[in-house]
Amino acid sequence: MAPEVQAVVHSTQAWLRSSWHVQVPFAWLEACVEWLQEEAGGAGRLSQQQINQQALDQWLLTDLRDLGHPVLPESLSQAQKTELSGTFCVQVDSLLDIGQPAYGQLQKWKGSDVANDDVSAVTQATQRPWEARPTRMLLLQVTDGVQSLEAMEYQSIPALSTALRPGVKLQLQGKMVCRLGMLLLGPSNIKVLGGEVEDLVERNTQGKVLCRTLRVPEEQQQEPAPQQGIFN
Amino acid sequence: DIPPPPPQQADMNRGQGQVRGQIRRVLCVAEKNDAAKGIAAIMSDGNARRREGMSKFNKIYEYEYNLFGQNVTVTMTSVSGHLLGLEFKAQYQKWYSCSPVLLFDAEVEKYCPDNMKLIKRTLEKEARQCQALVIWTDCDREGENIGFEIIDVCKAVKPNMQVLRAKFSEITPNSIRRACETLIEPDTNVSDAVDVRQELDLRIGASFTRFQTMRLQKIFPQSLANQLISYGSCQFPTLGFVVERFKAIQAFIPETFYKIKVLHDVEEESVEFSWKRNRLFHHTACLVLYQICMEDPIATVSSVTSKPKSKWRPLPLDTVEMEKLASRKLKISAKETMKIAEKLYTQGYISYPRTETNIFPENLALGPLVEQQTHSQAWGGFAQRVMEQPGGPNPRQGKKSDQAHPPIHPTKFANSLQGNEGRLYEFIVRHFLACVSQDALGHETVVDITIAQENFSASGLMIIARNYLDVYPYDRWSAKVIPVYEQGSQFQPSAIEMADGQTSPPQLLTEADLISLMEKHGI
Ligand SMILES: [Mg+2]
Repeated sequence: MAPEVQAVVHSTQAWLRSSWHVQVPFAWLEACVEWLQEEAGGAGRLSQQQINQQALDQWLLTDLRDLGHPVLPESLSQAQKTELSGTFCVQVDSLLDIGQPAYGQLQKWKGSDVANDDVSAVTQATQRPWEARPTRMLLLQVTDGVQSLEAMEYQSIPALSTALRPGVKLQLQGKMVCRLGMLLLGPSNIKVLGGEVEDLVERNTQGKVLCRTLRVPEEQQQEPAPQQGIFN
Repeated sequence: DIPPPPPQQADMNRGQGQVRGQIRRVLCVAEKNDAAKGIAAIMSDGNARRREGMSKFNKIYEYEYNLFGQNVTVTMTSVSGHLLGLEFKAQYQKWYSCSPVLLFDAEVEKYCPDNMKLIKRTLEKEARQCQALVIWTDCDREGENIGFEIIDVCKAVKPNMQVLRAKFSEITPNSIRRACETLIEPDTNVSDAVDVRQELDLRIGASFTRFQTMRLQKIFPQSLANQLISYGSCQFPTLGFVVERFKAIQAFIPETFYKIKVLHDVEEESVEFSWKRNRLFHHTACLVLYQICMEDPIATVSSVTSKPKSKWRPLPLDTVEMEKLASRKLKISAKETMKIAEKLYTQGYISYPRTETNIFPENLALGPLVEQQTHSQAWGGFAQRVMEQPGGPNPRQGKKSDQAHPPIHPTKFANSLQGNEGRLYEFIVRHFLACVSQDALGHETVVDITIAQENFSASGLMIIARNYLDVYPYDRWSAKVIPVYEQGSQFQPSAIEMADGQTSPPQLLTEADLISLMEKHGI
């Protein structure tokens, strides 16, 4: 490999690390840069800055499992109780709200929740008794590509939602507690970097995640129904 | 009682000028024999002469009365609900006479069913003797339509008859007298609306019933054989609600949830604090938070808020609410409730029971109505309290008005009614007294605590004045004692527990739920 390409790769690697805390294996980044240059019509067509940005975009769309480059402390998922601090970039494979029943969420997702189910005869109930309103708590399946574990929305994090694309990349930062293999997250621990993973987008739609939680057969992807005569 | 709705007052001047001198006998027709009897008793001061008509269920009452400013002889009789029915012309009546789809356009006609023929003949006979006809059917849509059936029958034998309509909400002396003084024109629009509904019911019901019966019998010849699969435009969606709920229960998947609860025993009291997160559907997540609490199980009182809380007295009673409450609280079905209520109405005990209004009109004097009830052993004391409360009777006001009838209320005191009649009357009276009295007043205290950053809450209720609850045993409000907590103070809970539970499917529909659903969908 030409030494000038090596220098570009090194430079991108350093930029990803310092600006984004993103760590990638050199070999992957090298292949990535070569491909970017090829697509652009040859070496030298892209500035270092363009290469940096495009490499970051590629990383956001990559399944971190393909990189096999661990960043989280070893055996974190086995920890009974530990605290970690630092900045770690991870991928969210799926999200689930564990603050409310999956059944109701699945009905809403399918658009089949029946408003009539809520109607009852008590119309003069007047002032409602005090009761806790259901609050959201998202449970995230996260991975650094080698180690997978669960993370919970310990304090409300407005940046997260079930609408995030499976495979989205997150930056975990600051002090975090990990108990029983579960990370406890608050709003100051999270920065959403974006991206997705094509495979996961298909495998982990909200509908499928909810079906798996309920242990019911997963819904077919919405494909046009085969044309069939009524009397077949 | 209330004056009739903005009337299209009949032009009596013109009528009087030309016709007055000729009016000697007036035919009055009520919707049922009971009503005719009650109205006749009031108009004649109990001196009506009774004679038989051709139908043995519909008597004729005669008396003198001052109507149109002159003394006339009144012939008061009745029908038994609708006098006429609607049917397809003969060539379409047989099941296989035509394709069901043709029933949407086939010609229809009104006819008099056999069991109404004697009533019709009585009307024809009496109409020939009278110069004017006054319609005394119930003042609702059906009543207006029945009125026009009577008019058509009478006018067929006596085309130049004067026709007027009495408007009333109660069969009480004041209300009947006022109706006599303010006779109006019958309302064609209201009657036409019923004709349209009847025609739609007939066409849709007959065509779909024939279609689905013939089709399904062909597909399931064994199991359906000669069974009729009937279709009705109200009954079908209603059946749909029942099926929908049943399927929702069948399809339901229960899920396990976990929660943390905190108990605190203070002397005799045991306070349970519930988790602000309510519940989590994940064991490990809950266990993590539980462990955190257990490692530092000291509760800090983060806030104590105390505020007045009231329980509202009921709204004035409309028909749907009466049916629902009677079903839930008295266990009397909606159908039975209406039957009893109609009877109480025709006997003058309550106002007209078919109303969508839950606002008392301003000019309806509530004082005398409350006063009547002070004679009761059971609720007389409460009625007296209402009379003495500052400002007197003070109805809570709803938002609905049908512009025709006031909310259901007692019009006469009764203490001899038995069985379900007595129970429904008592309910209507108690509901009335409750809605014109005062809200129950209380004081609620909410105590929030924090344990290792998890928040919990408990509440207590002190009842200061029961007010309407004293007369309304159908509502409950229980006090809950909570000891005094001071903001910022700390305590060691008696126990912190992780509990689990399961979600459960919706309940099968009760009759009251079904009525709510029908109301929601305008059925
Ligand atoms: Mg009626």
